[in-house]
Amino acid sequence: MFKDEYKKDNDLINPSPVSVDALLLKMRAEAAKPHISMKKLAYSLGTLAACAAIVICCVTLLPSLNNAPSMVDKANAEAGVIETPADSTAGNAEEAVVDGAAGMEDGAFDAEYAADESNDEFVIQGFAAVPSATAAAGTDNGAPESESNADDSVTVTDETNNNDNALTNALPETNECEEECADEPIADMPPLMSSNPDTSDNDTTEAATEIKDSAAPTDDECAEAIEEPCAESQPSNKEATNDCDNEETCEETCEETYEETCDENPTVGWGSENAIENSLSALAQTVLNGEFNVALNGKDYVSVISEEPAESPLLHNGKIVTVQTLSAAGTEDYINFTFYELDGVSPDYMLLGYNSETDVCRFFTRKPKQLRTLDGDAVNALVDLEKTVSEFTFAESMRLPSDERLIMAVYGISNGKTVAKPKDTKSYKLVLYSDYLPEIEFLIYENGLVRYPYNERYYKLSDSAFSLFREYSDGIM
Amino acid sequence: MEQISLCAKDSFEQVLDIYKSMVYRLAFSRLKNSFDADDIMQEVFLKYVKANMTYNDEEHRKAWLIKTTINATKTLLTSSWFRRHVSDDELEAFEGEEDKNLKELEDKSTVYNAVSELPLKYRTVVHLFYYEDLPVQQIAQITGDKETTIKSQLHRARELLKEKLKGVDFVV
Repeated sequence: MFKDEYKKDNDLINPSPVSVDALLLKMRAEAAKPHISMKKLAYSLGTLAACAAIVICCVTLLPSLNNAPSMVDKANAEAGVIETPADSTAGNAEEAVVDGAAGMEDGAFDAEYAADESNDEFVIQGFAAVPSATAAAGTDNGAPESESNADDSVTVTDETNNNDNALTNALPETNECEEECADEPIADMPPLMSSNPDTSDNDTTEAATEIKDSAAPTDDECAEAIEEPCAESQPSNKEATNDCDNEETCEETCEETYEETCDENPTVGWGSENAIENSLSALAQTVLNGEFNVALNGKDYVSVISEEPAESPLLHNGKIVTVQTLSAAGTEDYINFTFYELDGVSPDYMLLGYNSETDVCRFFTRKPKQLRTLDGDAVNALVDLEKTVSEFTFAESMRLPSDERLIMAVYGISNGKTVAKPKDTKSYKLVLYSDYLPEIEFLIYENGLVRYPYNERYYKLSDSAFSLFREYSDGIM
Repeated sequence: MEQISLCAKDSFEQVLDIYKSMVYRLAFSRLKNSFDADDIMQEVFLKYVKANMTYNDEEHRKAWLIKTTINATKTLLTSSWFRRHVSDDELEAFEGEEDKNLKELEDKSTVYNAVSELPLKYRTVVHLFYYEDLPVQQIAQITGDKETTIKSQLHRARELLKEKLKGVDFVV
């Protein structure tokens, strides 16, 4: 049979254990985030509204109760027992309004005539589980009505109980599952790496709570402690690239400050609110695949311990992620990686990690085989972008082959010095296409200036870079 | 598939354990490679956790997962990244790494290969009908198509399969 054969074939197809492990890791990070259940939120708001309604009703009705005792006696005598619609507790405000109004039309609640103290209890109980919209409707619509249904004979207390039951019944699955699932919290993910001392045995939520409860500084405090000394001595990331002395001084200050302030709590990365989920996921996956270990000289344990924003005109939304490595021999090391999301591309697919200490860049992607270790300095690493660049075109639709020197030129732009906007100079639009990068479009002027799109500033190309563009423009420029 | 009674607060691991293969196989049947199927599986279960929905029953949960898988694969298939990169350079990008699932199927299975050669919409319908044992009505609900459309697609898929499986003793 076709069906049997097809099923048999399908049974051969199974997800890779690595992928499942990576998923569990992501789940653990996800579970560590604070979740707000919309259902619970709705109930909380409903309850709050109901309480507000009770207060309003009490304030509104109590004076009239004191002033008109005889009316209540009359109402009780005429109506006997008053019924509040049972389904008004369902929590649906629109339904509740209708139910409330209907109740009034039935003469169920001649609220304005309820005057003596014995009916105070009714007023409160009758509204106890009714959402505010119902209460409002009841007050507005019920007041003028005076018809009573003498056949209604449900007691006030029973109504309240029924309402409670209705409320309880509105959550069947939660109640049914409460006992069965009490010991199985969703956040209970298995440890990914047994060597991880901070996450191997405990729920990440618990770990995060412990961290929070301790006197350890928060992420923001750490970030401020690191940034403040840098801010004073280092004008900006872009300008600092031209001022190496300043940068070195700053890095030392930052490291010292960081160690003093944050070393007591080296695990804030996992599950912290500021964690970059995608960066962590990418890291985690490469760790899982064993390739990150190789990249980090055989260190077999990697943990992200801090993050701070990084800036680059070429690559956006950078985050400096400091990772802690621990070798099998127990030697610890700290390595800074700068992860950049590539604008317009899902960070799941592409992250550029740059190790400032070793000047090594690596691409991290969701596909293990696309992890590339690009040895050499930062420029050479970016030159390797050549592999991902398919072609260049100019505005005139001239198609050019990719060339690593063009990439170097592009990178040279980002490190160039800002110049004034050129006037009355012919410009050419250059569009860079690649498999991974979004289109980068910038203007090159005939006088060798370039307008960079991400910061909209103007730079002067180096002579070699400019001549390169001219060469490739095949006479257009 | 193992049928286990799950409830709203059952742990993610249980759900993953039961449905990971279903999601993965559906994604694989649509994308025809393990790497993307792995990605889709992760994406679907991430969405599952983030959605934090309450399901009426297991059928509801299963339908949600199938629908989400189809949507996720659809998004991937229509993404410019996928069209520009994967279609042409997939094998090069993986630098010779074999898709073991695909290789194994190519070697062993006539039927699966025949199905995988069908157009995408037929593959999906065939998979849901023959492997997941979903009735036409439910497939229509999940895919958002009319029942008649699903029946028609199944009919055409069978015709194509008969053609492809000529000489093979199968009743489609």
